[in-house]
Amino acid sequence: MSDLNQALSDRSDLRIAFENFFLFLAQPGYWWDSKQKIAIAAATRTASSCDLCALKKNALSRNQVLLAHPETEDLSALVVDMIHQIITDQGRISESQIIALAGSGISRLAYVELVGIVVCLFSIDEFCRALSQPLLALPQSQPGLPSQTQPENLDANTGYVPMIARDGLTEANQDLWPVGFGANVIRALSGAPDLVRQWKRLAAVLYLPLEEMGNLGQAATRRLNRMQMELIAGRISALNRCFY
Amino acid sequence: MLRVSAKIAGDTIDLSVLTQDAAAVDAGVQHGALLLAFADAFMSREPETLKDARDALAHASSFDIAVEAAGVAANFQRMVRIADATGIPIDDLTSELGTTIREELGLYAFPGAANSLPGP
Repeated sequence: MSDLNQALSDRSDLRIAFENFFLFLAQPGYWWDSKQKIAIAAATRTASSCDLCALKKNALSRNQVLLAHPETEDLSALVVDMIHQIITDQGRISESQIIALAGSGISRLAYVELVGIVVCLFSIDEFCRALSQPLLALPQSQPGLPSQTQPENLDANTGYVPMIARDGLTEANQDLWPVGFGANVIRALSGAPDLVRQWKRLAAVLYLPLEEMGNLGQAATRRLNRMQMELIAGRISALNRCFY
Repeated sequence: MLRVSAKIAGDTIDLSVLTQDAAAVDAGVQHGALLLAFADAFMSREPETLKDARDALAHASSFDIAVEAAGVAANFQRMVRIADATGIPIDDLTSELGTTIREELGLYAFPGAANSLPGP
């Protein structure tokens, strides 16, 4: 076994979190069924090598490029375009696009769920890419209909999407963030609470558990110290032109 | 986070390395230059460049560190996309430290700034 593979095998927490996400992916969601969720994941995987995305990314305005992404069996062209933009040109996503999606039948809550699937899968894939590991196979779809449920106390006053109010956690969702915390980036996907749970679980193994983020010293479970982590985080964020 | 963690550790950090062109400097962080080179190689999406940077980091530190560095990089590919795809503003735009850092690093030029700043 190579040194890298040995280091990876020592981190069984990563494998468990990834497997948990793929199990989640295979289940029907809030607004998307299992087949659609897996189709969203599959479309996410094609974005980074998409020629049309490269054209749109380099255009002064994305609307200058009149070509559309091809629809798939489970996803409309508009949905595929949005998935690809989240990966390749997220800084230019505007609320007018979320409104257009709603006009095509994809509600803002369905969009929240879509964003969550895309970003969770992407972070797993990016981890694999960073270590020259093969991507994990997408799961087989499971039968069942979307639950079409939404959490209580949604607030539409922050960003483009409904999210649970900072002080609006009920018993069903009290695990989403600690009392008094509720930063916007935690709340952003709370219209689809399981996606917050998934990204928190992934963050806990890839970076740090939410509960440890306030500890700016050396985490007991990590070899990198916090300054080293934040140096990488800051550089990646800057290269992504992240203002938040 | 970086500046505060450095302050807690009693170190001084050069934040300008975050937004300037890659330079072989540690910025006041152990293995800083190698970590920055790894981050840049990761974002370049060039497999050979990435492998070279990862191996250089692993040989100077350990493969455990390289795995952790990959995790942090992958994690922050997710966070920016959550923020920009949902249009969320910064939670506290008024803090003096945050304002100073955003000005120092030129972050107000980033497209996502529009989600936090008052409209025209």
